[in-house]
Amino acid sequence: MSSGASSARGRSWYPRWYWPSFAAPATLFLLLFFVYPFYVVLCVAFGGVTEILREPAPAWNPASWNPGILGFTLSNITHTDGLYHTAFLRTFAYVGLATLACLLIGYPFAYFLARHAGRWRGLFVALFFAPFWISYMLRMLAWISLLQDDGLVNTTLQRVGILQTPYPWLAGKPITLIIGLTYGYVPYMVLPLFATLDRIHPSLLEAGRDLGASPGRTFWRVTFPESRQGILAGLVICALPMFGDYFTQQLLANTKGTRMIGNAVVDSLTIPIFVPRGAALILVLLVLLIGPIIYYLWSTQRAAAQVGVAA
Amino acid sequence: MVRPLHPKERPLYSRRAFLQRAAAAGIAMPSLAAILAACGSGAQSNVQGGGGGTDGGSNEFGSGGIAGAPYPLSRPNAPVTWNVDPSQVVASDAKPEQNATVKILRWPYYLAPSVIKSFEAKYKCKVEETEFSDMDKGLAKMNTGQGDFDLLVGMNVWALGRSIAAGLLRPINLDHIPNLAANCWDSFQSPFYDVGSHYSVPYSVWSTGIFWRNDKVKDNIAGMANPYDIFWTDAPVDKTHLLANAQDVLAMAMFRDGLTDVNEVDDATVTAAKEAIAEVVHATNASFDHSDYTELPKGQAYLHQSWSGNVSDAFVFLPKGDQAENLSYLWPVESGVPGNVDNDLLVLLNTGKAPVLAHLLLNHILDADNAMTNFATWTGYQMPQKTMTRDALVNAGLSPEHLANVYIVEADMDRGSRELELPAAADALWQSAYAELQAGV
Repeated sequence: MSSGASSARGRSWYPRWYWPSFAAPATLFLLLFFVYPFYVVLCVAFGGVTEILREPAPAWNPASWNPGILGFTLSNITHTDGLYHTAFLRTFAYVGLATLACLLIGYPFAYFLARHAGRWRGLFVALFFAPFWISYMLRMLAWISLLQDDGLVNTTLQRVGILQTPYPWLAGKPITLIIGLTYGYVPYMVLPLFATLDRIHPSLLEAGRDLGASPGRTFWRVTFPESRQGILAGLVICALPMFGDYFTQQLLANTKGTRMIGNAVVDSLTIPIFVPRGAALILVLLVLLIGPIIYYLWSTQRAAAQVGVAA
Repeated sequence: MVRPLHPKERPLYSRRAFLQRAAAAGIAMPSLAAILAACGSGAQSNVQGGGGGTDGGSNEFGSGGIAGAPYPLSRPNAPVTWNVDPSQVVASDAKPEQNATVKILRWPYYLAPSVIKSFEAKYKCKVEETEFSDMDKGLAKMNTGQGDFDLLVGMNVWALGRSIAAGLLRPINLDHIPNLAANCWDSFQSPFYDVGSHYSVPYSVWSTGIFWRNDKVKDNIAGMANPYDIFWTDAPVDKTHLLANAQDVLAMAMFRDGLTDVNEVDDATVTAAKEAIAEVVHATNASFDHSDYTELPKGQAYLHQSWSGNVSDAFVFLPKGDQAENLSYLWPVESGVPGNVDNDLLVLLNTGKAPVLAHLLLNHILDADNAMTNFATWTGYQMPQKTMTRDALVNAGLSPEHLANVYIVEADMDRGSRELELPAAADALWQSAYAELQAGV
């Protein structure tokens, strides 16, 4: 096989760089829109402020980097009375709950699509994703309309007797923010779950049943373990953008009691003298998120290795 | 759903591997927008060093004012005359540029399209408009040197000195703007922040006060000895909102304590103001925003610290069946306690390619009819025009009679207190205090 492949490569008309060159646009994109901006963030975080306009002055030369702002930011994250301490803790709580809600909503739906939707699968997918063809901002504005005092949610809950007076959903309530985050990101959970569940070969399920397992036991012993990588992918894909989300809080729960890391970053970026603080927050956030992503990569590689051993 | 692979297509990535890499790419998403935003740094690169370089006397930028920045800081009792480079002044007999495009930088919804169209028709030119969402972003856009902007609509007074010092503004030749003398209030012919109007003409005026739904907040706020007390004594929980900027919010607590000059306060006063506002935020779960003109009419807020310009047309956002009589506004100065009054500016930028037309556009905006059109049909922010009296505006049906106090009269400019540019160290202190309020610490 390998010698055949080698000889095939030897006879090929294209040079060695031909196929790698296909990655050039993406590489260029990454350099221009991630690596360079990331360096700018570093230079801003370790830079200063201009004297007249009081705007950020990036320190382009690493030799002149001033770690003071990063130290200030870290101190305000780690100290319990720090500027960013509560926002960090709150963000982890909100993201955790919203991601869990995405999983609880997304998994049954993805399972239904993969196993039971049959020829209606396309229709159900289209219906589920139809609201997401509209921009995120408009969908959140729609939630404002639904949740205001005389909105559909309050009037319905009052009509059925659950509420006597309108509930102030939009007055900085964590539940509103978690609902908003869940609604905004649940498609990112469904897609990888559906892809994973759809790939589970029916023969595995049939084998479970042939061996006398009940449907529930088959699910827990076969389907669920086989979908673990999809769950993990969904959790990562949902949670990571949620950590940087600020817009949902601004629109649905704009009070200090629901402020997330993303809001702290944006608030810093809107006050020029605090832009270096915002850049430092971005760096800290990136470092924190590297942990889960490393775990995810390690987990998937271990799973792939186990499949290889089994084969 | 998934197309089967042709045997010749090498499956470089399994679905699992694809998911793995897609998720890995996701790590970039939380911060990418912020990273990209951070790329737009300005051209100015002198890093902040020591304190200001002026003693308030005279330097390369101007004379008068007080110290605290590399340029004079203007105060009503310390006016500033800005220096002018004669080579940058447009000649009095200069003709308008032909077939030119005038490029405007402005706040959102802050200049009526009909005023622009009439200018284009009159001078057979084009006008292009670019928005900025807050003054700092406007300054950043100016400082990039890109865009060839001719003028800026709505510059805050606090940004004037630094813009002149950074070399961003073009001096004005008032010979091209006769409407300033003809139509604007006398107090704006040579204001303290720009003696002689070398770089600016006035645009809008407003007061900062208390806006509330009187069908929800039953206290007689206008009858209170100190109307600000409403925020501390009986502000509705979950329905109280404050303005989203450091100076307005902290100044409110200072005004409540009777301070009339909030620009020269010490650290302890700022700290006390922060703690006082924190009380309000803690007691009412107050939020910070500038959306009073929609939030109050829609019942999302019952009590809001507000700008009069936002209040003046808020009644048009009332839902069907609701009444303008339910909305009330008070400028606390009317009750004998200090309060803020302010204005913003029209300025010319030195990057512009059509400076004569830019002058003429300023004059066009200050025309009495155009000013009324601009105010009545679009911005809702009153201009300091001699014809825009309180009676005239109410009689024209632009606001309900009981909201006539949203309109400023010229004498109010002396009765109210200004929120002006602070020395760098003080500015950092105010901003830090506000950041702590936002964070709830």
